[in-house]
Amino acid sequence: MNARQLSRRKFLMWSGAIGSATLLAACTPPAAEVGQPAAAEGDGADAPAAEPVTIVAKAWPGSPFETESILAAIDEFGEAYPHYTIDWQTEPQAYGQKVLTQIAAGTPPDTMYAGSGDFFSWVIQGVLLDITPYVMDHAGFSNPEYWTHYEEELKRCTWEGQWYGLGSCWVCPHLYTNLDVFEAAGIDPPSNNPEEAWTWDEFLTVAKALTLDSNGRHPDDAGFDADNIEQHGVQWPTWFIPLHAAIGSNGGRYTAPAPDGRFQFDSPETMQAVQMVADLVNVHHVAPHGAFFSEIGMNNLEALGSGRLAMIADGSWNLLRIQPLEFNYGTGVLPYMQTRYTDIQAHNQVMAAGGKQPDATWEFVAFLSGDFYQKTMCQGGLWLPTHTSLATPEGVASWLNADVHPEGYEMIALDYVNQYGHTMYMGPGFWEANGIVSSALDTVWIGEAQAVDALPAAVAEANQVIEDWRNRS
Amino acid sequence: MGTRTMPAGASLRRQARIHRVWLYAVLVLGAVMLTTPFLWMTTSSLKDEAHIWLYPPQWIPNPLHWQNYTRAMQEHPFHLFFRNTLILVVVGEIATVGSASICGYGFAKFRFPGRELLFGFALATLMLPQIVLLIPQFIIFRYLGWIDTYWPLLVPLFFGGNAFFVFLFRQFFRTIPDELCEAAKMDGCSELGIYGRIVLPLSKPVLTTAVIFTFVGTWNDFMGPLIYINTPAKKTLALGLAHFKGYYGTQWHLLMAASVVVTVPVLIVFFAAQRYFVQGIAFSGLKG
Amino acid sequence: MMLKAGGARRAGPGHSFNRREALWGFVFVSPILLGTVLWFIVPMLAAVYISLTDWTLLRPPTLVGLDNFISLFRDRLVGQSLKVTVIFTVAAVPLNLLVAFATALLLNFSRSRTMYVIRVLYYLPALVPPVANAVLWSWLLNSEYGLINWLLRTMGLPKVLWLQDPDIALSALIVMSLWGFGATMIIFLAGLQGIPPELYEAAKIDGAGSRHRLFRITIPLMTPVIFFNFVINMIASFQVFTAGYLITAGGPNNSTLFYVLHLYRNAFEYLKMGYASAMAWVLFFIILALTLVVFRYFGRDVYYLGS
Repeated sequence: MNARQLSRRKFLMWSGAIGSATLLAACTPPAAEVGQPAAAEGDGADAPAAEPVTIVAKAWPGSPFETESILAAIDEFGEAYPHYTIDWQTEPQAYGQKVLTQIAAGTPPDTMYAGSGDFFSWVIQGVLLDITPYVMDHAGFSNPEYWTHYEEELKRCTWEGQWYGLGSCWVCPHLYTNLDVFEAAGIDPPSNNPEEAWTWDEFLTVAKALTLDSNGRHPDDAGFDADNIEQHGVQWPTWFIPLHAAIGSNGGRYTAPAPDGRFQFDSPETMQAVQMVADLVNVHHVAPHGAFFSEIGMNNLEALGSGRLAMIADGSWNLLRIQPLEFNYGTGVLPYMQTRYTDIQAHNQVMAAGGKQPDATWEFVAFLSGDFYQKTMCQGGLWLPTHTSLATPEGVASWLNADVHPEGYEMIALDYVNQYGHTMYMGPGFWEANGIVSSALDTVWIGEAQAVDALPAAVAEANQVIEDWRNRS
Repeated sequence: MGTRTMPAGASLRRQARIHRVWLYAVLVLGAVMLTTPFLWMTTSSLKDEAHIWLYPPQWIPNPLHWQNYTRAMQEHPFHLFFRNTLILVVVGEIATVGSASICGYGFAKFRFPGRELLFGFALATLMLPQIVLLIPQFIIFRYLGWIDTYWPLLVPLFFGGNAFFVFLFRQFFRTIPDELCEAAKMDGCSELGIYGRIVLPLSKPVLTTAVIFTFVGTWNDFMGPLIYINTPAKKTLALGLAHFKGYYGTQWHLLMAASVVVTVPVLIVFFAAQRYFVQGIAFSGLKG
Repeated sequence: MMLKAGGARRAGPGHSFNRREALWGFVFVSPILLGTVLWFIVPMLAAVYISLTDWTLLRPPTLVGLDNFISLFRDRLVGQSLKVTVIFTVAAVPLNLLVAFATALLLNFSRSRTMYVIRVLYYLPALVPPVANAVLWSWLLNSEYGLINWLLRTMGLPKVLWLQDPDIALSALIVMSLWGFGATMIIFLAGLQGIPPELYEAAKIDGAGSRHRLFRITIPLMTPVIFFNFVINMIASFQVFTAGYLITAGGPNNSTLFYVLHLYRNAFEYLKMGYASAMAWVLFFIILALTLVVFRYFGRDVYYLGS
């Protein structure tokens, strides 16, 4: 812990030095400053190994643990590449937008995260470097056997057969449970084994049994007071990842596959799935109103820990946050409506098209996409592996962490993800179109409208946006 | 009302006392309502993560987690955010107060053709929504290579700062008797000398007002740095707070602790200077 | 007063301008004149050009004529965001002025030390940084775990979906905006303290009651200040952004989609610089028209009453 603390302090001091240096540089004529990244480094390919390299990497911030893991891993990289300096910059507010303005301003970072919702939009706008030659030259990445789920890997990293990024990991939504609440009710918690997944009806029965009003009544009991619920059975967030999982499990689609990308919320399966999620709150009273949970960063995990919620459907990355809360938690695969299904995605590590030192940057990108880094991030509970080497029994043993992962979690990390996990295509205009559909859904979540009434018009409008974007690019 | 016919005496004084009690009761009640969110921020800053979500809410944290403050300050480079904010505040104050008072003086004490028109013109810029200018300004600053520097946030301030402050200074300077300036002129004072040695020393209230408004505005400015600053080490406090809103959930206790730390300096400055503050806003000549 | 306060020196009708003085005047006001040209007029002209293009910033702009303005009138969200902004302005501005004025009147009753402390407390919410303010309020207004619904519950009232119900969210933000009335109040207070006490003394001797004093002395003398605050608040509320951006993200169902938020999204999230510039121009003309109307119908009264 102490060593990490120190390395962080070193990092901060160092970034402070960079900051003041840039500040000083800001006093010289502006043209000089714009040219600075270029001036600092010649073409990485020709540079001798000893020549110092500075890589600017941009990411969104995760939790403090994540930052520590990243900095520790970067230290590790520094041992092998002592001439590298990594400037790891995080952007908490409007990440994608900040990266684009930086690129538009002509000062792109060398490498950065591309969220699954931004990636294709960035590719199509010509912002990202085609890294196919690097990938093909790499013994590991070029080999389909290297990846646990190659088919989905190709879907999320390539466009028209070319690679524009490397998938960092997988993450998927699954159930989290407060085991003490289950035990008190005498109910078996959900399984991590996808073959034992609950059907939606089974899930609803459990959720009802775990929902209590202030008089200890359940939702189906006479005199149940829906305004004074002490304990909710479940919470199912309604942003795109958990929602996609629910829709997919009903045989519906969120968007059409690449390169189409139009919204398919007006299909009967999708509308039915949406309605079933909304009904958890408004009809069955087993879930709290909480469309804004994720929006405002308020965490449902604390509510789970304090027993106000018995279950939540949330991202696997939250294992990292749930562990320090020190309660008796469990995990399980999601229930399904028609077919077992979960959403898988994660950010891609990408390089900017206008980067001044692609070869040097690639070394660092390859490290970030390598086994060591992925293993480190899996150990904390943030990531699920995508490398076959981490899916073998020895591989699993190298990251499965009894302090964090509940027993049998590898079934979620491997079987569930690789057999039932699906990526979803989010192309140009996705966020704008998603905003339109989400707005229509707002009325569904609070029970003011039915999905079948609210969605078709919104989907038509959203797809017009997608259409416009396609005509622009 | 019967009070009018009553002789001035005990009953009138009693009534005044009752009025006063009511007045204070209403004011204190209002103050409590207004400060509740701030109090919640303060108590939350002293809780551990689990206690923040206790329901019903816990008003007095137990145990007190003072370490939230040290943790919040270490988690992110707050010393840098602090330094950066200070740079912006100090330079911003000099630029805004300096140039706005000079312009205000020009409008208040000199006669020149088109004065009222030009003043109205400058004031009209206040009516222009900032957002209208945001895009072209961003593009202009991009051409100048000023993105990710403080120039876009500071340079415009040297040009009169903000028309509101020019207005404020003009109003105040108009209350200063011309005879004083005339007398100084007889003694051989230059125009700049009159402004610097006669007018400014008399203008403590309006200077204080402008300083406080600028201070609070710059200290809490969110939009400007959000758009122009990219490098984390160049960020300001107001923006730095967002670092506690991670992508995987907010660290409420630390965010609240950091917010208290960020708010306190503004509070101190305001408290220390607020006696002058109200006097500095002169409305005697508003109509003109 | 021994010395008479006044405007310009040697000012008198019929006098020609003193050349030296005029020159010095121009020198003194030159920063703001230059600034107005550099940071307002030039960008405004640039915005005209940009509004005629399709520009993502990532590629060179392409001229599209009036397309942006045409699609603006077809954009349902432009209409919605204008509606939201107007409702917010119509509700929040008078409310804010009323509360601020009433509080300033109360605070003006005495100049004791206690009053100074109370005054600072009233100004406090305006001092809290926006990010902190936003998270604080989203917590206070949270339907399940928020303080406000907890209070309602202890009083036996049903919970309110403050930020999830499209019919309520905007009202919640209006009430929230009221918390920042301190800035307006301070300006009122300054105005009140500028009213000569002799006027009240004289009225008292004439036997005027407190209501009479309020309506015959205070309010008439305060009209310039009220007008000033009104215009400033109106312009500000047309530009409300942070609350919608940080707390509700324009939702639910676009019920808090302020015009400026919609504009910002188009510019910096969707990178439609041309379209956003067209939106900016439309907003500019709306504010200009409103301001002209306000000055035309209220400005004159203020002039007379203020003199």
